[in-house]
Amino acid sequence: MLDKVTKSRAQGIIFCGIKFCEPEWFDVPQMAAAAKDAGLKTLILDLEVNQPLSGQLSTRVEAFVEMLR
Amino acid sequence: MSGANRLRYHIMKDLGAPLLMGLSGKKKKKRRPATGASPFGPGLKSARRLKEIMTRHYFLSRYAKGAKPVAWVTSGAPVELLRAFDFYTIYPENHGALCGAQRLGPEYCGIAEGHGYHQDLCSYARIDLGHMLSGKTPAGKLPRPDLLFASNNICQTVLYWYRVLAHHLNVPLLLFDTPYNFEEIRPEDIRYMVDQLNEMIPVLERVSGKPFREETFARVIHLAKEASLTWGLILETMRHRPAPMTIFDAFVHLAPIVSLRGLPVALEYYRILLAELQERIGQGIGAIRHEQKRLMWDNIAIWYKVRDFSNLFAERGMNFVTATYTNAWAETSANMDVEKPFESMARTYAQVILNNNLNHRLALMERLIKDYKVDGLVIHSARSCKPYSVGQYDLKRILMDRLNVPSVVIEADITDFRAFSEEQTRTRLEAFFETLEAA
Repeated sequence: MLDKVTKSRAQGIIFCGIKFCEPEWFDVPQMAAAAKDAGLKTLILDLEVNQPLSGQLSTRVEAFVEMLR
Repeated sequence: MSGANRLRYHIMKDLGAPLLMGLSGKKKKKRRPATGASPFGPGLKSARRLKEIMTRHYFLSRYAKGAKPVAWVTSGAPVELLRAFDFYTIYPENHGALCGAQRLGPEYCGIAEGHGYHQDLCSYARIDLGHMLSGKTPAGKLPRPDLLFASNNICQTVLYWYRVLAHHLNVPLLLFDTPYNFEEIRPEDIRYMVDQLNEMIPVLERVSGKPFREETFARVIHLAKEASLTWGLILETMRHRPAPMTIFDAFVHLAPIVSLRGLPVALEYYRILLAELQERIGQGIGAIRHEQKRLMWDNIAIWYKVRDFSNLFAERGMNFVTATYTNAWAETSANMDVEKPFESMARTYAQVILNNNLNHRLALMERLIKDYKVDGLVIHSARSCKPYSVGQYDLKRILMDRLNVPSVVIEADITDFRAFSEEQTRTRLEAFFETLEAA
C-alpha cells in the first residue's frame, strides 16, 4: 500500500470497508495507523455491496477532498 | 522461565489457591433451597467444585508468566500438543464468554472499537482486543502470551484476529489450517495437517525451552480423550426424561472441556459430575420440576441471557436437553488415538461441526432430535458467529418438513447485548411457546 502511495505520490487513502467483511476490517486499524505515520490523510468508509454512496457518505468524501486541497 | 517465578507459581498453586478457595467458601452465601414455587429441581452439587476449579485457574494465571510458557489458544485448536510442552493456556473465547455473562461485552468491545475495530467484527475478538489494549478483565489479570495458537476449524475469523494479536504482542503465531470438508475427510488433507503439526514441534521446543516427548504427548491425548468421552456421557444423561440437567447448566460446565482439556483436573471433574447426574437419574430428579417439553439449542450461548432464558423456559415446563454447541467437544473425540497421535489430532479437529458442510450439520441435528426426543428448536442467529449462523433458515425449514419440529430464530449476539432486542425476542418466543403448547 505504501509502495503504491510513493509511486503515485498520493496524499491520502480512502479505506472502503464492506459490511461484515472480517478479512478487511481486522486490518483497517493497522493500515490506517501506518498511513497516518507516513503523513497521509485517511478516510474510512463503511459500505455495503452494490449500494451507491449515501448522502452522508458523499458529504464525508467531499470533506476529505477539501482537506487534501 | 526463571526459577523464582516457577517457585512462586508452585507456592500459589499448592498453598495460595487452596487458601483463597477456603476463604471464598466461607464467605459464600448459603444458597436458597428450592421452594415449592421454583420451577427448578435441586441444583447440581458439583457446580461448587466447578467454580473452585475455574477460579483457581484464573487465579493461577496471575503467576503463570515467567513460571511456565504461556499460550493464547482458540477453542478448536489441538491444545494437546501444547500441553506436552507444559504450556499454561488462556482461552480468549472462554474469557469472552465470562465477560459476556457478566454483561461487560459492550464495554470491552467499545475499547476495541475506540481503536478502530469495527462493530461488525466478532464480539469475542473485540472483547479480547479490548482486553489486550487496556489490560481490563474481570479475572484479575491475564498473562501475556509467549505464543499464539489458532485453528481455523471453527472460523476464518480467528486467523485475522490472532494476526492482530501477533502484531501487537510481537510473539509467534502458530496456525493449524484444517481444510473444510465439502464431503468426507480426504487422506491428502490428513497428510497436510500432520505435516503442519510436525513443523510446529521445533517452534514449541524453542518457545518452551523443553524437548518434545512422545510419552508425554500420548499421556495428554489419553487424558483429553477420556475427558471428552466423559463429557459426551454427561450430555447423554439428558436423554433421560426428566433430564437431570439443562443445557444452560451444560453451557457453564463446558468450561473445563474447552479450556482445561488434556489436564487431569478436567477428567476428574467430569467423573464427579457424571456420577452426580447418574445418581439424579436413579432418584428421578429432574433439572426442572415438571418437564413437559424438550428443546434443542443451536449456536453459541447468548451469555448475558443464560439466566433469564433459563427461568423463562423453566417456568413453562420447557427444558433444553441438547445443543449442537455443547456437543462439539464430544462429537469427534473418539478419533483420538495414542497410537497415532498426529493423525488422530488431524481427524479429531478437522471434523468438528463448523468445519463440515451443512448436510453434516443437518444429519447431526436430526440425530439429536430423535435421540433426545426433542419437541422444539431454538436457533440463535449470532451476529458474531457467521459460520455458525449461515444456513440456519434452511435448517429450520428442512427440520420442520422432515421431522415436524417447530423452531424459532432469535437474532442476537454472544456477548454484545447492543445487538439484542428484548421486545423482538419476546414476541418471537411467545409465538413459539403458543405453537409448542398447541402441539
